[in-house]
Amino acid sequence: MTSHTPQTEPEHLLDPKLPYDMSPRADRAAGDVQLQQFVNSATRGRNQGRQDVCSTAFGANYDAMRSLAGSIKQHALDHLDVYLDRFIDCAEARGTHVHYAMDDAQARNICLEIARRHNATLCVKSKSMVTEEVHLLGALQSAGIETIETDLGEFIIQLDGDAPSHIVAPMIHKDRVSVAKAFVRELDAEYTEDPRSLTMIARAHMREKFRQANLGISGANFLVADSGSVVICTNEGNADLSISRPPVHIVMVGIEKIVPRDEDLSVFLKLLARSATAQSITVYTTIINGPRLAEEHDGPEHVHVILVDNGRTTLLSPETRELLRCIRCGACLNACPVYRKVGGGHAYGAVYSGPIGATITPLLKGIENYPDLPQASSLCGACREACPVDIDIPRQLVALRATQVQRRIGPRGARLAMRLWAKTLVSRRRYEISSRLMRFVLRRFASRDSHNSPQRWVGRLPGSLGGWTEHRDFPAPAARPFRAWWRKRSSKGDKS
Amino acid sequence: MSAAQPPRQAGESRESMLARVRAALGSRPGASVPEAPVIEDSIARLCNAEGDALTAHFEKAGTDAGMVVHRASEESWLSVIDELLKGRHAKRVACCIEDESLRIALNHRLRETGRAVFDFSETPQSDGLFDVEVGVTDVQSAIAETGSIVMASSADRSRCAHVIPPVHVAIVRTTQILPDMIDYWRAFSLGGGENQSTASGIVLVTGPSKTADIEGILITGVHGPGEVHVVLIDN
Repeated sequence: MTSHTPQTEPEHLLDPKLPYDMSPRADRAAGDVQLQQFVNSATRGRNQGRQDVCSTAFGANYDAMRSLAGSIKQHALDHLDVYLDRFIDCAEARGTHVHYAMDDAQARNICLEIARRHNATLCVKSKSMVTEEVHLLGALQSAGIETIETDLGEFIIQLDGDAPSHIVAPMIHKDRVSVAKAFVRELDAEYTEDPRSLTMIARAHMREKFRQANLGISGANFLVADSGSVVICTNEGNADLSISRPPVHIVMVGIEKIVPRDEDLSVFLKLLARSATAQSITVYTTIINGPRLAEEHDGPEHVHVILVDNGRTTLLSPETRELLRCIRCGACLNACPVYRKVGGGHAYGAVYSGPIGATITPLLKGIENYPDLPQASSLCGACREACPVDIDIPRQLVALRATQVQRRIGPRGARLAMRLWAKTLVSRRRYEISSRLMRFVLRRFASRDSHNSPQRWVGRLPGSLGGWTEHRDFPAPAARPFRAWWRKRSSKGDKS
Repeated sequence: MSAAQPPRQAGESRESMLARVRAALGSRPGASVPEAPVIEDSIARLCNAEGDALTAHFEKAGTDAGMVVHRASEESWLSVIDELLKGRHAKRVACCIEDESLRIALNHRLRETGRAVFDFSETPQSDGLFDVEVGVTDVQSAIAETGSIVMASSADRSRCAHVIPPVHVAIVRTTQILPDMIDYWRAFSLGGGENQSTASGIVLVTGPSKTADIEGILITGVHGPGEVHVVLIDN
């Protein structure tokens, strides 16, 4: 399994030294046999599951549904100012307090200020990617507020000083043994490797915290502009328990999560769980319209929504706007052959991994800081077919690569090779000369295939090209190029 | 009732954030917004069953999601619940029921059969929910498409009734079942219009609490109930 010591700060796993070189973690993940088995079976299973349930549910309308969902999200983004305005007005009319965080520091500070104002000492928190993005957990704990991640996967990760490796399934890279050891070490529990027993240990521990907590923090899957509502989708029920008992509920959410109408939830709720976990809907879909009403006897007295920008307005520019449609389902991660190989090892070096992470991380944190991510793709398009909101991720990756070329980011040798290659390809004569040279050289270093066929293989390419032949042979070209054969055939008119 | 806004020191102002959004969009304040895309029934609707077929669809979807559905009549539902409680040796039962006739009938039967009743409308604190073996609620609505039951918070129904007790029993009348999620928002709109829902918290429940975080192995009853029963009264 991925080896890490409990002393490794989770911050560094998702906040590495910049510029970030993904090769070491990628190599380690690719070579870890058990990690490969775990991640492969999990992602393949979910990807196939998504295809099966969506085909059963939508039939021939699957693409039309994705297109509809994408167009609703695009519309909301195209008029985000209007819908934000509407959401804020409706939420405040119902008693919700709305706050505005330009960046991660403001997000943390707003949250801390609310917590202090209400004398919070024990906080229970449900899973939220944006809270990871702004490093909220550490800030709360440094302020002396005991904070428990209540999503089982996040709880285990918190306990073990680890970091999540997948948007939806945070501990896809961990096995039951590491969980058992963490529970013995941190919870004083009996050693057991049985997943059900481990889960019950966590349940008992957290139940006490749910009883006593005086602050609940959650994210949000959707914000409904027409009603000022917050929508939270979970399977465990930890969000409901976190936010319904404490007197204060803080929602931290990116501004792009807005949808215009409650009926839009029909479209997104039908796609979200099917895309993420092959369920028709998550077990709990919780809608918060505001703090408790006068006639109600439980529920929070104070609901605070912190709207977070943190670079999203940068992504709002027309060329990259579609990336904000993302509903964080993880379908692209499950479909991506690159993620399957290296994702479990935190190789993307940021909070958001997989294809969506490879596009938004360089845009939010600087392309020069994450030069490998746009390159870590074969542009197969599996992500695009999986995305429930129809984001053209391959096109965005290519656009990032174009920017890298324009800004001369990347190794000099590769850039030089590309320039040479471009110059060769524009002239037929140069192409023919250089390909003749390549053929001569490669065939000289090739050895004959053992089945005595005419196909030859080069076992070892020199220098940095050796990276290719480390794991496979390179096919040597045929003795005669196709165009020569074609010319001969056409002139002779023979059928050989 | 509008919330009094506390002074904002730690963040930025509403105007500042919206100005940045407008700048990125190149839009002017006060510009009109075209209609949002139409949601075509032909694409998005997954269930349009009626009558007995509707009930059957709900039963199947609920069962597939891991709930146990018990068919009952106006005469038999109390006995059905009684059997359920007997089977679990449940001595302490929570009651979070809005429908007065259901609530009175159930309370009476529970006390008759010597069980300790925690009635939320009498003792409105969710603390009491932690000490019961079974929680019984009624519902605002049910959706056949997904097999979901919908509960809205109220004076008589705790926000936590569906999630704290380890076993949840939901009383649903067949007349409450709607075919598709699309129908739910038309009947119980969140914002604006005469059908606006006034509850502060609404939850759609579809099955027992579950996780597959540890090695992808499915485990139920993580934080919420491990068992969800629907007593479906035919009327």
